[in-house]
Amino acid sequence: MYIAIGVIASIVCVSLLVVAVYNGLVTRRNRYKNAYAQIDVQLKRRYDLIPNLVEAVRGYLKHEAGTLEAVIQARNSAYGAAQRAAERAGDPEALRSLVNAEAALHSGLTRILALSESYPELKGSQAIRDLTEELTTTENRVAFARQAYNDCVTNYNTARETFPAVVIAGSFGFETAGLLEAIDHAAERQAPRVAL
Amino acid sequence: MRDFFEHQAIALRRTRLLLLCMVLSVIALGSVVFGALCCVRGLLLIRVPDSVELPTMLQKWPLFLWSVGITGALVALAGIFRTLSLREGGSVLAEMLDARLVSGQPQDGLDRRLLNVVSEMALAAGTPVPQVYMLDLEPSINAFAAGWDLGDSVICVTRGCLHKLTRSELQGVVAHEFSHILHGDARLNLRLMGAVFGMVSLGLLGKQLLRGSAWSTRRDASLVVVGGALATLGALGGLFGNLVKAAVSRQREYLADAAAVQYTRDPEGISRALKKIGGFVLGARLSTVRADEVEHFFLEDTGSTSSWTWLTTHPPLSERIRRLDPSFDGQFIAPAEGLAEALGPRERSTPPAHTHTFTRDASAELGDPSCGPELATAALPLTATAGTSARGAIAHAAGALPPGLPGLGVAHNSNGAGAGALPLTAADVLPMIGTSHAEVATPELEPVLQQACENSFSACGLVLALLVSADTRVALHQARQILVLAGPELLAEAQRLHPAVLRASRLARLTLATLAAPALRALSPAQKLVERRTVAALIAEDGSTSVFELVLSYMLTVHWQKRPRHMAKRSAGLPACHAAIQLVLSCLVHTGAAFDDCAPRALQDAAARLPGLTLSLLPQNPRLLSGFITALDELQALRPTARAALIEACAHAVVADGRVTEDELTLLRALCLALDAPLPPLESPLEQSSAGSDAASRLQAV
Repeated sequence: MYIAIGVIASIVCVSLLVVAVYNGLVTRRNRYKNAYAQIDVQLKRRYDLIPNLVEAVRGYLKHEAGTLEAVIQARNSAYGAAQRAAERAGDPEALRSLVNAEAALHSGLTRILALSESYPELKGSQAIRDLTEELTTTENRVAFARQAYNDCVTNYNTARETFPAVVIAGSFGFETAGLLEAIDHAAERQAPRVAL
Repeated sequence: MRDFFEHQAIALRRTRLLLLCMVLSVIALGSVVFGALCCVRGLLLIRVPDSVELPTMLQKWPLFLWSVGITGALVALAGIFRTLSLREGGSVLAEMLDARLVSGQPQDGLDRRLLNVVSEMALAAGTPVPQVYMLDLEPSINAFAAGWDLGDSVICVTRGCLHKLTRSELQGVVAHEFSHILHGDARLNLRLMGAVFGMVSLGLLGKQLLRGSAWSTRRDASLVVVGGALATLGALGGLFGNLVKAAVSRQREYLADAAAVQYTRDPEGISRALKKIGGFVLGARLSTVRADEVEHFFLEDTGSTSSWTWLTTHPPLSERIRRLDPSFDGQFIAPAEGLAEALGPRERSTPPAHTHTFTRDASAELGDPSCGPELATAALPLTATAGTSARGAIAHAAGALPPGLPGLGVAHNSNGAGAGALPLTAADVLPMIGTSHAEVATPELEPVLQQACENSFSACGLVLALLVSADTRVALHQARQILVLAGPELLAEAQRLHPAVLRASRLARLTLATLAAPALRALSPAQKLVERRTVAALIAEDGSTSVFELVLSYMLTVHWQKRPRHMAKRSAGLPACHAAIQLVLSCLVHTGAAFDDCAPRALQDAAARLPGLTLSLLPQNPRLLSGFITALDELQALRPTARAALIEACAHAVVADGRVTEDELTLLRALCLALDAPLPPLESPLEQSSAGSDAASRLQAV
């Protein structure tokens, strides 16, 4: 008699545990998805800034048309990669292709900005200075949001791999989420100034 | 203000009702289990004379006690489990329902409208801005609010709300949800959710097992049997769970509807929204299966549970509408196809950047639709009208204030108070607490500062910029601290925002802290730690802690710390917190005391309103201010009626010496925030003399 009660009670206990663990995984997964969305907002903003920058410098850099076109191409493919990554937030494949596309974009941008050093009229243009400053700010924001996203993903992955959750994670469809490597390089272009 | 705390006290009493209901349910459920076991054992014979049955069952009373005991233990365990999982606050609920966090820089115009509505309401009420979530996949009209206290609340609406409701109706819905947070309902609902988890979740699990959705791989007979048994037990448990929920939380909806009318000054908004829910073919129904557990949080029934009248978690829709609009004749409003209301100029989504981001000036942003991208990119210009209703705008323009409000603010201070203090009495301050005055003057904020509040990175930089001193020598040291602790990017951001911060008034700076709340909450724990350390280092750097700095860092910790305290019971009376009360009052009367002998008299005045307590004045010393902050944590244990008495006493202490300084108001705001009694921003004409009062109020840190 009491054995029967014991069995039923333990089944109920286990079920409650399963529910609790499931809820925990769902919560953590949504947390990293929301964190990714913050990155996506900033990335989209950056992709919107780049064509403006290219148009602004086009007048000055007449014989660098090849470089400018390359940047626009890189920007378009990065946009596509970001779109795919946003649809499948946390998917390691999509994130890797985003990182690659971003690397190409970064080299193009660095080239343009390096060129502007040797064209004083470019440096003097207020509009271009504003744009580059806004680009830098946006990249800082991407870096920050990326940190938060990686923290959330680590949290989720750890929870997924520790004891109670690891048993049920597979059957409920919880995959390992991917971390996002560095896709912003603003720090390289910015020298810290302590004076105000 | 009395009303406001009474609502919270009523919510507290309902918690006791909840406990009673839970005990009864456990006994009932245990009896059912006992009966089932008896059937199994064959103790209940099918044909038996009536006299034999009852004694047989009564003889088995140890079995009965065991059944009830084990059921009770399981339910209690599950309840504790669930409540602990909710300790991070309302965002856990939103994440459980797969809601999307609406970021501070939304690309979508409707998202922007939602954020504007929520932040207007929060500013007018003086609460930190809650995080806003969206249920994108739900086309019905529904919303919920969850959170233990002001610091961790969230508001979530469905996609249908944004598409089918006009701006004023959306305001009504958001105000309804806000009132749940302010009246302690959100807290009660979280407790309720934890308590009935043990019963309701079995039903959920059983349903999912039978549906087979969870088990994608194998499906043997044994699982189906287990699933079936769980489902039966769970259905019963779910029944009891919903009975408890209905008993405890149903009546609160009428109250929240009434409060929504009061906060928006507009009886039409919420009633029209409810009518639209009635007239919409999808109504307020949610498709996600997890809505079962959280149905009582929502604006209207989500259709997850049965529709028997005594099991529903909400009162009948027609009755609710009738209480708001007596002329209601049963005619619902069918929402139109497509968008209910076109986007306004402030809500059109951000276009690609243009080249004059930083040279825009605030005067260009007043609703001229012919201005191009510059206008649409502008964030909400926070003027005294707060953009809520045309009525508000006209009232402000005419210089008339709603009845009962004193002549506040530089903009419309008609009785010409001199640059000394606010012409306030306690009777003026007290009614402001816990209400929402959309027409109260809110400070003007520069666009660059408003934009900084929208995004986590800039919000961190903004916080650091708020703490960097105007004195260049100190600022240099602080900049080094930021560089070391937080990195060069945050330093650059803080430097970018610092000039605008210096131009802002003191009141505006505190308002920025409330506006930045949701962005700061979105930080990961590691980032919060870094920010907290940097903030502490900056405050310590200049060797003295002003009232402003202390209150600002307190406001930040309210958002950040995972405080198990906020779940604690609020049942202590005034005598239990005697030391803390004494400290708080002493600090208040010493701050901004006009003359030395004002302080004891002010304390007497306050003590007169706290019967049963003997309070002595603590001598002025540097530790008083930091002690104030620690005392605020202790005071969180007070029950609502005690909180009301304490706030009243403190308001009297502040006005007793005949003048109300900035610092006193700042401390009062911190106290109100700690006690979950929001105080709307009160503009003061002291801004010109802020430098002087700054020096006077600094206490040398030991």
